[in-house]
Amino acid sequence: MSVLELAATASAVFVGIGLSGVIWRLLRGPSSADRAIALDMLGLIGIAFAALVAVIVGHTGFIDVALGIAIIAFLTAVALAGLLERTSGNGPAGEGKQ
Amino acid sequence: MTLLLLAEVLGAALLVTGSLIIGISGIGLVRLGDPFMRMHAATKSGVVGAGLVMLGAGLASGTVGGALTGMAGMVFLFFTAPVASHVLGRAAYIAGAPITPSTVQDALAGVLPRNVHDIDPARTVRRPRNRQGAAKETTMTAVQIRSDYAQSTGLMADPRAVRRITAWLVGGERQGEALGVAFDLARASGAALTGLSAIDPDAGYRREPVPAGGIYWAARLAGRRRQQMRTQAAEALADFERISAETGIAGKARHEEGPLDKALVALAGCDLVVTPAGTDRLGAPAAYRDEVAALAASARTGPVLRVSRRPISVSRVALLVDNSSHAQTLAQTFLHSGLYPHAEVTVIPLGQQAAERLAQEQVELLEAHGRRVLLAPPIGLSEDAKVMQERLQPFDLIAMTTLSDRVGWFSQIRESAHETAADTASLTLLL
Repeated sequence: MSVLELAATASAVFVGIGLSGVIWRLLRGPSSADRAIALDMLGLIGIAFAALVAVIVGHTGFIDVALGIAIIAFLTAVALAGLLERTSGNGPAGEGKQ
Repeated sequence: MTLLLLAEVLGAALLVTGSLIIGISGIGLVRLGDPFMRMHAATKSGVVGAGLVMLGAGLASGTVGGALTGMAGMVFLFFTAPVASHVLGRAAYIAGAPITPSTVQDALAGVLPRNVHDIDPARTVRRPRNRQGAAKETTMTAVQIRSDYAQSTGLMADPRAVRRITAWLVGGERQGEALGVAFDLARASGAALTGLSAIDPDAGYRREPVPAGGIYWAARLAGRRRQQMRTQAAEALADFERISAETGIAGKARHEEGPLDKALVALAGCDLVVTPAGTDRLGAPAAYRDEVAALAASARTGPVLRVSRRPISVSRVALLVDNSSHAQTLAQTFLHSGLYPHAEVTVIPLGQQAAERLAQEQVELLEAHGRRVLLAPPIGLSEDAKVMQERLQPFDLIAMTTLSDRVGWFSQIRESAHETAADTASLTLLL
């Protein structure tokens, strides 16, 4: 096992710690804003994992995958933000304000 | 060759650094207090982490193309992530995501619109338990300091602190008064109003061996009682909706069936619970210990306003401070509750020395927040109920802590203080 593979494996463990935190927050909430933020970071973790897979497998193509995930994660975050903003005021709970 | 080795080692270092940052930000996402802080953890360090990992992978690939792709990915992340986090943060603020109570100032107050927060109480409530030490802060918004109180003079409630009011509908003769107060407060603060009726269909029905025919009668009686409770709840909800239609204030009616826990879950997440005084869950007159106000207050979901009469105006508020641990935060919780910000507050110590010292502290806190405050001479614990009643007569609202969660020698005295105070004023605020 080369230095590089060792580093990539150790990195995968660290990213796994981050992933467990994200999953906990995603399930726990409590507000939908928390979930949106956790989903945003889930995208970043996906990028990191794709890049690590590229190193471990030794195939450059996975870095392109990471780039693709980055684009989708950005669009997801913007769309979720729009959804949060639009839907929050609609229910009967929001009518009293503004 | 050495260049390749250098790239490899550099790549490995970048991978480890980046993934460590991602791991730390994952911990931050779990540990930090509100969505805005979590965003700080998720985006800032997440981006640096993911960017470094990508750059490291690109360098480690050993090809020029791979390195360029990695760099391109990093640049892309640096451009998009701030935009994404800004948009998410803005949306979270507008959606009314809770701000942790330790936040001193809400710089966006009045700049961006803000809706009622979107927490689903069924998922976030914890079972009530006796807590030692100071009561936990339950307010969802930051404390507004000074100048804002001047602006809100003339209001019954600060619109920023009171966002969700729940009226617990139990029926009984004081229910109408309580509903009146709830609608007054909702109109003044623009808060979202929920009418909650909660019944326990299994109350009093025991599943156990009974004499011949007993099962039939027990089930039949339980069925009739259930029928009565449901009729009563339906009437209370109909009343609520009628007043809502008459006054033009939108109210949401909600009905819960199940054990007491379920009702308390439904109360969580609101900034104020309004209940009729001296009434139990079935709308019958009850002792202090059994009434809904005490149930709601001991769950500690937030301030409970106990209404015996609907006052014309609330201009004088009394704060009863004894030497219990909860009383230390009485003024603070009262300020957080945002109720009656223009009223004159009188702090009355119950008992000597320790209570007087606590009362002095609370006077200072209230003064620092720009409220009109008086410090009254203490009421002795051994004094007659009549003396106390006379002293409390001039006040429209009496704020006190819920002491019922402590047992022991003191609970006797405290309960009598409660009962006396509760019968005197038209409004009692349990903090």
